[in-house]
Amino acid sequence: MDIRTTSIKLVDDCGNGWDCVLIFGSTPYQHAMSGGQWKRIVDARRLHEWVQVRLGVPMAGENDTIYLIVIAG
Amino acid sequence: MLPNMFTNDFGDQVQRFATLIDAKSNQFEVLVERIDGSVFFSKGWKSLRDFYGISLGAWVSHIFMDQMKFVIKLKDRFGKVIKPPVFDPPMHFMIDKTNVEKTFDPNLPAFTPLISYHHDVNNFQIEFVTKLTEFDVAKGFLVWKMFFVSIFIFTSACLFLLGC
Repeated sequence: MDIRTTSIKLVDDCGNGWDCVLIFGSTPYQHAMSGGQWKRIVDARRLHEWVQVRLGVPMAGENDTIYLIVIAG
Repeated sequence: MLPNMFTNDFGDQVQRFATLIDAKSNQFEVLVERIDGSVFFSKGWKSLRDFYGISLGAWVSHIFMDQMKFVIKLKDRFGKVIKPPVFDPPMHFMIDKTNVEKTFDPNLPAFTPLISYHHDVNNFQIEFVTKLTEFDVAKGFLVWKMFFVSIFIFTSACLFLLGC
């Protein structure tokens, strides 16, 4: 299993910054998960299953900040 | 916008950032703007809507403590008290201060909707939309497809080294 971690900041559409940690996993398939304060975002924004979120960055490459918009779901 | 009655009395104490605290110690950091002597909360203010589940017509009472700290109490439009959600530890909203000037901007437009926070469209030059799963909302992790991680976070060279 090849797991690497890195820190990213999610900035929500209210202007709040949330520190998240990107965790990589390879089983059962190649994937990554952002943890850290993600659960706090879920609670703070009352996110639930099926809600759509838009994630954006200014350019391809090494972004340490990712912008998030919650779309009504 | 804070009432001018407040600004007239405490305008000399107004600072660039304010903290709103509810009865359950949840805290909201908000950016403060001044336009023509009036004081507005901008970045961070929208957080209250989803957090308390409020909509048009809700009332937010601000009790000024000091050092730009306000105790807040909320009621819906019918006057019913809205109980703050309880979290352990309490929720602490911190605004992203990237590109935020530490001093007031004297050149803000008088049209107030322009000062409400919204993302710069340039921060969505590359974007993707995902529908949250039960795992995403229940387990504390948002699952990313490696394809998007590769575009968002890493250059192709880094990806090659990771063997992804």
